[in-house]
Amino acid sequence: MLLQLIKKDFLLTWKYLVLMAALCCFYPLFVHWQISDTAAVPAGTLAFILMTFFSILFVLLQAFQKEAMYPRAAAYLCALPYSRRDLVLSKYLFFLGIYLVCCLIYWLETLIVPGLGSFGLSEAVPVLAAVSLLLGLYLPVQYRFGYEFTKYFFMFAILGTSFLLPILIKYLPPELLSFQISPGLLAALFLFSLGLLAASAAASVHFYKKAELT
Amino acid sequence: MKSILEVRNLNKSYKNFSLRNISFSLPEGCITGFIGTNGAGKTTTLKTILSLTPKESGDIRFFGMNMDTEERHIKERLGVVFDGGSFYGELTLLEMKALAASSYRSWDEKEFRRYLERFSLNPRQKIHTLSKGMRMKYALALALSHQAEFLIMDEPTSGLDPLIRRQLLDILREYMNRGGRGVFFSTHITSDLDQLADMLVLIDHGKIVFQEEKDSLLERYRIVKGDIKELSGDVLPLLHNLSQTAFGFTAVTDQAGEIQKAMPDAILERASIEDIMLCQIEGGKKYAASAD
Repeated sequence: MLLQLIKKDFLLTWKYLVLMAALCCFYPLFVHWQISDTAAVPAGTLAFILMTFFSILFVLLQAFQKEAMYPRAAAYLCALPYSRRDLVLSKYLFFLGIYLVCCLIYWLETLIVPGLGSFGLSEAVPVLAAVSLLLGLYLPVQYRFGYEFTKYFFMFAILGTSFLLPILIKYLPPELLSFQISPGLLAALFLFSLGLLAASAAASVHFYKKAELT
Repeated sequence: MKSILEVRNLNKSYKNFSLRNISFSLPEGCITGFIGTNGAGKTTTLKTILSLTPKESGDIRFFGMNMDTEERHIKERLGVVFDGGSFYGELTLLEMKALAASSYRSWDEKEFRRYLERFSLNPRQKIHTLSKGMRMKYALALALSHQAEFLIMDEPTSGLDPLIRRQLLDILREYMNRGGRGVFFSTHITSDLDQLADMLVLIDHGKIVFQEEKDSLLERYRIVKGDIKELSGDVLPLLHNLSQTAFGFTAVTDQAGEIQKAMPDAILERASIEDIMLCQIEGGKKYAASAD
C-alpha cells in the first residue's frame, strides 16, 4: 500500500527529481574541480551534503505544492482504505528514498573519480542527521500549518540559519567537519536521526489525524 | 431490513455553521437521496461520516461496525464518488487507478477494464484532460470495481449534461439490481431523484428535517392552486410556500383532505420533490408565513 503512495509522490515530482539528480551528479564534481587544492576540508563531500540537503528541501516544497494544487485528492485517498498514517509515513519514506539515491549517486562518483574523496558511513551518517533534522522539523509543521505557512517559514528559517552557520562550524567537533568521526559518535548520530524521525512521524500523524480534509 | 448506515446524534461545529444532532438510518437495498440547498450541510455530513473531518460527538455505524474502531474494514466495503476534481490531475487514469486499487483487497481489474471500455475512457490519458462528465464516469469506474456494498456520492450529477446524468442513473440502477446494496446520493438537483430514489433525507441549516420514503412523501404532498378570495385564516396554516398573483395563488400542502373540504374549487396536483423540499426548509416556511 505504502509503495503506491510513494510512487504517486514520485510521479508528481519526477521532473524536479531528475533536475535535482543531475545537480547532485555535477555539483560535487564542479566544486571539487574548482577548490579541491585550496580547501581544508573535502570539498566534494561538503558539496554533496549541501546538494542533498537542498534537493530534499526543494522536492519537499514541490511535493506539497502538488498536494496543495489537488487538495481534494488527499480527501479521496482517505475515503479509500488508506489511513492518514499511511499517507504521512509514505512521505517520510519517499524523502528518505531521495536521501538514499543521493548517497548512491555520490558513492558511484567517488568510485569513478577517486580524487573526489571517499564515501562511507562517516559521510552518510552526518548527512542522514542533517536530512532527519530537515524532515523532522518540516513535516510536522507542514501537517499542522499547511503549505503556504511552512513554505515561507522554512525559507526564512534557512536564510536565518545561514547566518548562524559560521558560529555553528566554530563550535562543531573538528572531526565532524573533516569526516574523521569516531564509531561512537557515528552511532550516536545515527540513533539521534532515527529517534528524531520517529518522534517527528508520530507528531505528523497526530496533526494529520485532526486535519479537516476539504 | 438491515441497516447499512446508522448515524446517531452527530455533531460538528465550525465558526459559522454546525451540524446539530444529525440522526438517520439507511436500510439495505435502498437508493437514498440526501437533499438540501447549497450550504445546508450535505457535504459536511458526508465528510464527517467518512471521517474526512473529525466529529465532535455522535455514533457512526456502517454494516453494524463502528467507524471509530473499524474504519479500514468499513472502507473496504464502500465506494466513494466525489464530484469532478478529487484526483491528481497530472496522473494518467491508469496511474490513479493503481493508487486506488492497491488500497483494496478485493480489487477487480477485469471489472475496471470493462467500465473503461463502456465509458470509452483511454487509460493512458491524463486526468486533467478529461471533461467533467468523463471524470465522473472514471470516478464511478473506480468506485464500482471492488465489489462495494454501499456507494456514497457527493453531488455526482452537478454540472453534468442530461445524457451523462441519464447514463449515471442507469448505472446506479444496474448496481442496485445485483442486490444487498445501497446508495447514498447527495444532490440539490432533485429531478434526478424523482426517477431513482427510494428514500429521501432532507437537511437544512445543519439539521435533519425529515427522513421518509419518497413514494409516501409524494403521496402526501400536493400543489394547491386556487382563487385568492378562498385564502382564509383557517387554511393559511395548512399551506407552505405560498405565492400569489393577480390570477390566483399556488402553494404546497400535506393536508390535501382538509384543503379539499375548506376549498372545494381549489385544484390539487401532484408535487415534485423540489416542491416538497422548498416547503420544508426555513426559507419556504418564512415565505408562507409572510402571506398573513
